[in-house]
Amino acid sequence: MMEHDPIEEQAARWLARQDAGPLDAAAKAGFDAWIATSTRHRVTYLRLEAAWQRADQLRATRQAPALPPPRAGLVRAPWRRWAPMVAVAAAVALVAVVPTLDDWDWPFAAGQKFSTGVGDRYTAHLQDGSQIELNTNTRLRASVGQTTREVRLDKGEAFFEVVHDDKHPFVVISGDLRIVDVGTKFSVRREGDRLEVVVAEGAVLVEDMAHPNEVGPTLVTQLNAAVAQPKAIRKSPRSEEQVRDSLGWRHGTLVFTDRPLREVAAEFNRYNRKQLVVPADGPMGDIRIGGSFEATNVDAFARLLHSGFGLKVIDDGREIRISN
Amino acid sequence: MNRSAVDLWFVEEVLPLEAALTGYLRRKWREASEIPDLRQEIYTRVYEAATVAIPEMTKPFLFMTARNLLIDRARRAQVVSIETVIDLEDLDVADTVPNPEQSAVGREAMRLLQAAINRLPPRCREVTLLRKVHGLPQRDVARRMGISESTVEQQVAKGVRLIADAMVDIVPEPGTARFGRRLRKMGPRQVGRP
Repeated sequence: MMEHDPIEEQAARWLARQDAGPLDAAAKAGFDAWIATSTRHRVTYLRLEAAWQRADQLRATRQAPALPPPRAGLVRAPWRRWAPMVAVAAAVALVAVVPTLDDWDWPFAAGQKFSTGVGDRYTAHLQDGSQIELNTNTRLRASVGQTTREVRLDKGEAFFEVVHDDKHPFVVISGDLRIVDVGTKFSVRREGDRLEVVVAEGAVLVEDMAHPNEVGPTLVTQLNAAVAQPKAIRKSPRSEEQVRDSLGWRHGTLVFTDRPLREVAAEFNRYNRKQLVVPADGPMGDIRIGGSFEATNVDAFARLLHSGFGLKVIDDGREIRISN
Repeated sequence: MNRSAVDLWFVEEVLPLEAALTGYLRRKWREASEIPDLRQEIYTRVYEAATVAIPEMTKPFLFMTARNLLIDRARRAQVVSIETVIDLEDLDVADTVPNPEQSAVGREAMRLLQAAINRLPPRCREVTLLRKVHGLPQRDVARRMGISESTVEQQVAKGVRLIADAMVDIVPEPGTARFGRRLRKMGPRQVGRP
């Protein structure tokens, strides 16, 4: 009936185990090691996982024999297709994160902290139904309760999909800047006290709380971006493609259009421990790069620099030095 | 397990072609029992190629890879007749035409999926229905059926393989490829000096 295929049997066992609940640290390490053993393991697992997730679509058909209705807590949101994957991500993030309680000044009693390491991503599901996708090397705190919905972005970048609620605006605070959602999907990226907000859908208000008299609240609507610094909020329009490209990280991709190599290298360096080093001076940093790249595959990008531009690439395992 | 763009490409672009790929292998390869292994090998090859650069057009790339593998295998296997090899050289044009409607799951696909679940052995079927159609967690499935959680897990492992195999018979209907256009662009798009 079923072919005897040891790899597929192992893949099915791993899948079934994760279907039961998140793996503990030891099991997760075992799973990661198994996946890393060969591409064959990986593709076999992905295939079974896709089939298993696809079967979730049956839940919409209602043609199953009647059961007493499942408890409310079991009804899953529309993202259920990805739920097992999210569960895996959650397991990863939980193992990696767990800061001690007192290492951040945490003003909210009911708050949750989320963070990701270099090269990781994580989707946080808040109790109000909103979702936050954390990009690489990001830390934020969320406090969602009956009366307030507030997220503090301490560092990094995140994409917010907010379930709108007129009575309880969703507020993202980063340094002295505040972003108030007006029903929306948007990303916020923080570098020091500089903030970039890109609105994919809906609109947000960006405010400088420290200088309310100098800079008024700025409304940023769909397909617009704002770069905010203390005392300065600049708005600029974005094309749909630009917005999509700037959100490529949500799928693990970096997309560049005519960007200088020094900026591209800086982008890659956000996602990888192995750093690209481009000479600070000289024309090399001005080489224009375009294309889509896997954010965590800096090696492939370095190979492209070598093969496409004839640049010298020296990789010592910690750094990739680019030279002529 | 970290998810990469290649994983996403593989799941969204390659796997939906499984029915077409399996059909192709069945037409071109006499030994039906070897098809799952061939398919796994083809997946492995396209995945590894995609880690270097995601191909612009998935379907022709997948079938070219399949064809090359069959030719390799045919040349190595002494029992394969010469006609098989010649036959392999002409790749069906219909198979390679890229179409953006691959990942759709329509009513028909749903019906086949249900049929596949109906064919599962009884206990496996009940576990799968409770888990997937009613959305019960494994623990609750175990409680409801009065069996141990590890038995439920074993049945899930069994069910997922049978369901994956049954998907092969699903012929996709036209619809939307959610990641198609975006991912097809991936890989170096332009390379030039300033």
